[in-house]
Amino acid sequence: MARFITGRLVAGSIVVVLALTAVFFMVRLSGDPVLLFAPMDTSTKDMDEIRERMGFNDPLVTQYGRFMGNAVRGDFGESTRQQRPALAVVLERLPATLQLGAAALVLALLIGVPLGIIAATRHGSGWDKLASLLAVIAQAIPGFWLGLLLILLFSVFLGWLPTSGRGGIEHLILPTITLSALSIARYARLTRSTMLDVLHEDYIRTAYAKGLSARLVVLRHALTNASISLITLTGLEIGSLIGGAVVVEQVFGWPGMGRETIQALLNRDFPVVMAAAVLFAVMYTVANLLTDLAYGWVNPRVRLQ
Amino acid sequence: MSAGALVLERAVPAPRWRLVRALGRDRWAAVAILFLLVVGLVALTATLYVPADVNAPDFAARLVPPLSEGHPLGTDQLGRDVFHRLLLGARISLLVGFTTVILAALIGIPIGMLAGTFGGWLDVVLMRLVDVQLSFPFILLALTVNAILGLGLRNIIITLVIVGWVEYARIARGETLVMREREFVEAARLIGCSGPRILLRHLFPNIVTPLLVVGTLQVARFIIGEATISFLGFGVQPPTPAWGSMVSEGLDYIFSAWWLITFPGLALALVALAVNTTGDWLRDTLDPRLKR
Repeated sequence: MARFITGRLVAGSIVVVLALTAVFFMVRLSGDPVLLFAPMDTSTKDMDEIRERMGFNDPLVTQYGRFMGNAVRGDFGESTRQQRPALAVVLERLPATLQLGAAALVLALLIGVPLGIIAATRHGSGWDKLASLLAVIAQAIPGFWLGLLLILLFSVFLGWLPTSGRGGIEHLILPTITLSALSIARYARLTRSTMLDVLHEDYIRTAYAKGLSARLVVLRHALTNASISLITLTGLEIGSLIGGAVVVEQVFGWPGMGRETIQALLNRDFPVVMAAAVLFAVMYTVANLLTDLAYGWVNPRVRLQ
Repeated sequence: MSAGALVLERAVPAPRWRLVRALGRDRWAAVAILFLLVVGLVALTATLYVPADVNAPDFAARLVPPLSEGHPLGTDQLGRDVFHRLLLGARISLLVGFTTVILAALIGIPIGMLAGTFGGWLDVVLMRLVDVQLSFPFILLALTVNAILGLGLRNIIITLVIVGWVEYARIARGETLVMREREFVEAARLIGCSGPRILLRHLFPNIVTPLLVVGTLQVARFIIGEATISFLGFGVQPPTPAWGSMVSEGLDYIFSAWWLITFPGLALALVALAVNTTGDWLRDTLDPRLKR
């Protein structure tokens, strides 16, 4: 197991280092990186000065080494807007994003998995059709529009819930539903198809033959075996929830990392953008790592490889 | 192995008639394709019947609700007809959706096939690139690239191609890895076919189906991607009527004019739904082993 964990850790670190490299080169995609770091109305002379001060005149290798050295210490430079370390700007928004993402993941599991189980155990029934229909619709609706529709219905017309901001539980409801819609559909779909496969296995028939109740067979015997693919999906879902949060936070004025990043992009505050991009990549990598570990824990065959 | 077995092994592209007949059996796919054809026709011909001054403000007719005379879907905060702008918006969505998918495929498929065939450093670089790209949220990556390249329709297409080609490369590589071990490739090599010929004439026809399916589903993803980017204030800028920026413009009037955010979003959802339905149907018909 120790070797397995070490292997995953090394693989994760490589991804983070490569993500840092990608960020470094992305900023140089525009040709002249100083344009991204100087205010819009900077004179040519000031531009040259900033270029010199930020070291954009040095050879690329030197710049890359300095960038990586600073980055591993968490130094992405100062926010050009807020005049304080870029990483601090992003990090203070992290709890809000984690709260929203965790709420959406829990909701997706609580609705998606039972929906999939019902669809599989009552294969071909109205429940089954409803689950497929929901999945098809959830995949076609743009996330930002779903959020706006919910605002229109529950905030504007009914006046039940606030339109935006972060505060009590009532602020969390609409963003969570918006963010989890696609995940609910994917959990329902995957649970349904794996349960359909599992329910035809011999050991399920044996369990029924022993006289166990349908509830026990489905929840204890079938679901336990279907859970391996659910864990894999959860790893992917965490990644897609982090990405989806960028848009959902903007729609609902949720003060998280995604909204901060979009504001930074609109303000052309690139140190903050870089810090956020790297933090997103780290979060994704950690999520993948946890998935792999959970996978190894549930499925002994993986550990031994 | 006889020559006959070789011919059988090489998967023959599906005859067109099989597709048409399969369409007759799947009502929803037929509806979806018909809907897409209508939207495509509308997009192509919109300039013929939409007034040229569709972006000109008409302050006498501000925020007219839907089903009013002359304005079936109402007007926006500047008195511009929502229906006409919606028709023009279809042009942008379809243009972006289809050009990005084609360009991304043209870049991604050759790279993926080469990586799958020859392996080596190209394969290593490609797979690491896939890892890294997956570690950034799609929309964040697109926004960042777009912010660096600059706003506008051309740059949004470039952005989506940069973000999207990797998916094709990944699938083309995976399929090539499977196919290159098959006997018909071995046979082609033995009878002395050149490398490019094996790639183009023998490998490509056998991996084109999964790529076609992914490509179709990607159209919806790119259309929604463009709309999301434009909605967030990047990409296509007002007054150009893209569906995403129309929703964004309507945001300030959410309390007084529900139709401004509803109709462009509905158009997006319907097109995405139709594209996805078509993609699912293509997959089920052409490639049953991918059936869920």
